[in-house]
Amino acid sequence: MKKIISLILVMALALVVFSGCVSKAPPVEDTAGNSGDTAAPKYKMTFIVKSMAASFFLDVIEGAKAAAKDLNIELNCVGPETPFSVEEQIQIIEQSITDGVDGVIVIPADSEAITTAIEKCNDANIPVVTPNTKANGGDVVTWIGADNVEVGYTLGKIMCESINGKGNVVLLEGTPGNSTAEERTEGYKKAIDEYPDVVLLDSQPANFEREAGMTLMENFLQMYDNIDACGSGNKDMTMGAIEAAKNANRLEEIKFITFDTDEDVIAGIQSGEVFATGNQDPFSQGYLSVAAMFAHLGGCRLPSIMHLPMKVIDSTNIDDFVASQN
Amino acid sequence: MAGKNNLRINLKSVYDFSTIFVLLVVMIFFAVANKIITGYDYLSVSNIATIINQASFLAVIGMAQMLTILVVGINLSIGSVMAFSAMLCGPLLLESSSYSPLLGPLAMIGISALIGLLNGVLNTKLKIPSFIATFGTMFIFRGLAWIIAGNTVHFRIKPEIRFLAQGQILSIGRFTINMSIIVCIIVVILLTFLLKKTTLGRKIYFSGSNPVAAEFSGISVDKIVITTFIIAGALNGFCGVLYTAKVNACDASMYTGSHFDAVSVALLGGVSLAGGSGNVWGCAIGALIVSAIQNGLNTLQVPSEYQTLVLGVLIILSVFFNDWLTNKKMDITSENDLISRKEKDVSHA
Repeated sequence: MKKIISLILVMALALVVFSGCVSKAPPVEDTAGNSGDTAAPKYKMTFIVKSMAASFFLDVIEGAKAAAKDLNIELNCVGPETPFSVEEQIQIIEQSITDGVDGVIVIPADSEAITTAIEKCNDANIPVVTPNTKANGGDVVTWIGADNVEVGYTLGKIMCESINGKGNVVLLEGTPGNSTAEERTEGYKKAIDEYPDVVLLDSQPANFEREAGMTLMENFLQMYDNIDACGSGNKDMTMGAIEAAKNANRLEEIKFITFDTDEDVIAGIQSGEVFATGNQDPFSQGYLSVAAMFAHLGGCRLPSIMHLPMKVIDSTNIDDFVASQN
Repeated sequence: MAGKNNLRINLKSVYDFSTIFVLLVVMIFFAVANKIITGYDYLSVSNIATIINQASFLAVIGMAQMLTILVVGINLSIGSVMAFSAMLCGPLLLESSSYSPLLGPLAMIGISALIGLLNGVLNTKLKIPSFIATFGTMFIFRGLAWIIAGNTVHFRIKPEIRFLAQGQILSIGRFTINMSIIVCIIVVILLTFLLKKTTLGRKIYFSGSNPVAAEFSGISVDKIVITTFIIAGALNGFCGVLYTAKVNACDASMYTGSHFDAVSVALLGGVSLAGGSGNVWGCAIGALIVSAIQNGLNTLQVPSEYQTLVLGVLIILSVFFNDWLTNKKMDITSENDLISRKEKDVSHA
């Protein structure tokens, strides 16, 4: 009897869980951009992200779908089942070639490995656009994104300016070995080098994680009596670090510079806990890459690199930013 | 003869503290290395307080893992279950919610206990090894957390909940005792009571160390394993509450590094993967070792590329050292048993 009850409970849990899953977000979504009365979609495109389970890429997809709707494109947004699996991305591209799409837009999970798939598209005369992350080979129509070294450099300059070019700073790095993490750190350090009176006390990894950021900041606070500013590779580490600073009653003395614009960062800027943040604008990355592909298919010539300017958000423009988000 | 025997018994009690010994070695290593390289005082009161406060959360995670390991299992889904339950109950935890601050945490614990039940049933009734079952549920619940929450972050947690992790109880000089230490001690006491003083506890150890014998002596091993998974699940949910309280926020990608922490704390704490061996205090010390290492790497300013490497090497060394000490202890214990049995035989004769 108990066995049956436990089984029923398990089944019920599974049912609740899976029903939620099916109705809300199937992994592959078709957006036929016709709003009812318009003609059949002119172009068919595949949009491949690195992962369907990361907020950043969900925002990219949102932008891509908006463009598909505006331009009447049949857009298929897909991501590998295993997040960041380049093998699956390659399979999806091969499938797209078989399906005869007009264009492939892919954010490579691996800049090197993706080239074979891009070359296959080249052979099949299907144009490729790579937003966000560059591919190391193959013919690509254009790359659209923010350069991570540039991102780190800009944030680094803001950090140094925030303390009037004089003081002690620490850096929270992302996961060791991750190119985004390393490039952003490189950028930060490049900026700090330009300010002779800014001392980089320490720069260590906290793996892009909130709790790791908090632990690292606790250790920094323990080691250094004077920290004037703290730069970070993403917002999770910063938000953790802010909690550490709050507990040590040292929030006031430290200016936090970070990256990404989720709700908690926006609230942090509004309350003054975060000094400034950068926005890579995933929505625009998605929107513009679909639009770029559309323009290319229509015969326009595009530059091979399209830099999206990084937007810096601080207390001066936070209200405008929030207004633009809604 | 008696003198030699006493010496052996003393040695045995030394080996009993093998995890403490490892902790001391780690701390002395970093203290000396810091003195030489950075000049930083690693053993200062305030740094020790930092290490202990950081360890208290790790210890609770480690104990959740230990329970599963005791019944010859392993739980890879800890972080995912935390994320899933936090995403379901997140709105209840917020400062802005009008519900009682007890509701959210209790719901998280309940949901996690149910998932523990699911893991346990998969493991026993469907005969899926726990490594594979929880490997699967790890993806399932992380995925579900994403589906429920997308990219929303629940932040600004109720102060009553935050108190669990961040409340500062008292400061003695530069040594601050956080509520998390008290919470950790309460969990340690409750679990020690459960494992040492109740029949369920004894059955858990027995089922883990020798499931066949346990089955033959009339214990329903499956039932014990499922119960253990449920308790571990509830504790897992509580970890989620603590984590959320600690960082004042939760999102679907929270604590992806959980398996590393949970498994290494349990292993360093002397919990044997063979099952049936390990104790709560070991876990607490294992957590101290992990946070002493992390703090040490930070204070030494080890370059980021090397930290991962060093962490791995230190974990293997400490587990090896701990095993070696434990084996030594076992040798002495069995020799002592032999000696005392012989003495008994003599006195009987």
